[in-house]
Amino acid sequence: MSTEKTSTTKNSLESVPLEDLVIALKKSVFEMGRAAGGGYIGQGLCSAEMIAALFFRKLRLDPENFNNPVRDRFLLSTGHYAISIYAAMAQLGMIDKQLLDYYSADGSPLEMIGSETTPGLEIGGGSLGQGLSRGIGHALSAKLRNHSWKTYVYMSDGEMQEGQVWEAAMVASHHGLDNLILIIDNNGMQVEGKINQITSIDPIVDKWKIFGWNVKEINGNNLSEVMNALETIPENNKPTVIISNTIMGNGISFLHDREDAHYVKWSEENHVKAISELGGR
Amino acid sequence: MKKVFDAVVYNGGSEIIEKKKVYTEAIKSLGEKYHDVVCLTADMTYLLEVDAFRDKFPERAFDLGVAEQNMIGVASGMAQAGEVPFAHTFGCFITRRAMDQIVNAIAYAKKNVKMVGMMPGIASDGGPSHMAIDDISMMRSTPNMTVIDLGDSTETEQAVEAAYLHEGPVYLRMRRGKQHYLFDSSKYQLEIGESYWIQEGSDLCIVSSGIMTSRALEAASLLEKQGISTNILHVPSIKPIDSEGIMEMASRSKALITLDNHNVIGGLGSAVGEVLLENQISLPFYKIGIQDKFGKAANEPYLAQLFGLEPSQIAQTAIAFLEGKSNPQAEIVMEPQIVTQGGGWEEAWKN
Repeated sequence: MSTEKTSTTKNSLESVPLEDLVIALKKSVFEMGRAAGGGYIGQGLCSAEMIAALFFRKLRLDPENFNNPVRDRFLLSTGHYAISIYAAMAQLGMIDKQLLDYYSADGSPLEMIGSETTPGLEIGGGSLGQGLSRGIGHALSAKLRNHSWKTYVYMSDGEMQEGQVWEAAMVASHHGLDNLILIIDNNGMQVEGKINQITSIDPIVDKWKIFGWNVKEINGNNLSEVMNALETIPENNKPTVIISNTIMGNGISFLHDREDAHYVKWSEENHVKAISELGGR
Repeated sequence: MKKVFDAVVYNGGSEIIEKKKVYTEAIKSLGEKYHDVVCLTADMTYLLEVDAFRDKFPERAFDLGVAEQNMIGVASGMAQAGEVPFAHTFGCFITRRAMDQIVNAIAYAKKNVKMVGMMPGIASDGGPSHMAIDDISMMRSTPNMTVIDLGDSTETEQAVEAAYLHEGPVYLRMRRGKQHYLFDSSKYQLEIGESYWIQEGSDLCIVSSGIMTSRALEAASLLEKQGISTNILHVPSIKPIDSEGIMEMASRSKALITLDNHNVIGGLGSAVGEVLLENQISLPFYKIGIQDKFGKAANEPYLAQLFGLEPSQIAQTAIAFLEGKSNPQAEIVMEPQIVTQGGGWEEAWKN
């Protein structure tokens, strides 16, 4: 096994309660929405707990050097979720907080759909269903060179409709990539509405089991379940997938059950209402 | 443009020397020299000549199954982690099946991945599904991509390392199995962005790449007998293309013909035509190639006749063009004889 030492630093937010960081992350999501007049706010909310747990606790990142070779790799397969990553990176000081005001603005480095040219993002996730394959590339290379860093791929449930995901699923289990962790945000929605009314991806857990993966299914909006899942990844020669069941627009009443919540316009009125529902601390 | 008349070992009339397992040895040698080279295949390790590399370096060879899109994604990830992946399949599959992955995960992402597409155009006997007649067009119009069409064994040997040393995405298009030996390796050095003036003439210029260059040499020797003196410019590097070399050839010739083992839309001919137009160079210009049609499952001699790409047909087309006929390639009667059974296309290439 590798003898490398991580030079990634403990992040500055280790002592701040994770609950508070989730609230702050969601607020940043709203502020980006307000600045841009809209955005992928529903996704920002449903992913908030998982992204917070990863970025503020679990991932070995180096805010000083994004490309530190011993960092954990976090690959965002669905670039639409970049909004919550931007919020997390700003809190960690990886990007300037003021940049959030330029979320999706013309010419801004924080594009609405994140890509390699966005500071801090490993891959472009605009064309769906590709992140897992790229994660496999990292994980295979880590095995080949005996590196101990892990690869995390964050994917949305709708991406399971892409065939490439299943090409990748086979290859990851064939190669026993227990250094690869896939997180599927299972919010049940895609652009046109509810996934199970368009082309169902069920049964999700059984599909991944049958493809040879360790499968964990959790309430992805429950912080302790999220942390527990991330802390108990088996090392048993199999890749692990966490099916993270979430609610699109979690916690904000007027976003729940909206079938057109893929992209939402964000008025001042929405903003004020959302902040009050969030229950500021 | 490099003037390399003395590097050419085939004069268009002599017997062509063929070499076996050229890529097989080249990629294995590259693996010996550079330890970050990894090879990815999609079920066709032996068929893409990666078997010797795999046998020598089993831990660096990954057969990822019949799944080209995933292969390209994995290549991107491995490149990001510091490897230099060579990803292999037929040219038709790597482009048609995985183009979105190539655009997003390789080209836009500027990943140091080398893509090897074999069985270009008439060198494929598997029919339209297996015949890359549009790969150059797709790859050439993709930003950040370098496109190299290989025509002989010397080039293939040199291109593998040239691609490795070039930081960024490269598409290598080549024949598998026996490759023609056209250039003396001591007098020829493949460089990305370079073109090679391989024969001097005063009337016509033929611009060719890949496996069409041996046909260009043969056609030129036939034209010589008709009193037509031909320049030949060999252009392995289709992108970046050597605009200066093309312009110099145009200035030395009365007419210019391109030879494409590809659809005439989007291939070498289009690239050369763009150079001429953009530089306001006016001379008679014609693109010989696959005239926007599909082929069929057949061996190379049959396909060449079918498309009008036999050297005699090229010479005949050139003469018709110089005589001012419009659409001269259509004048070629394309009713090839049925070629006798060759033992099956899966086997024929190995012999």
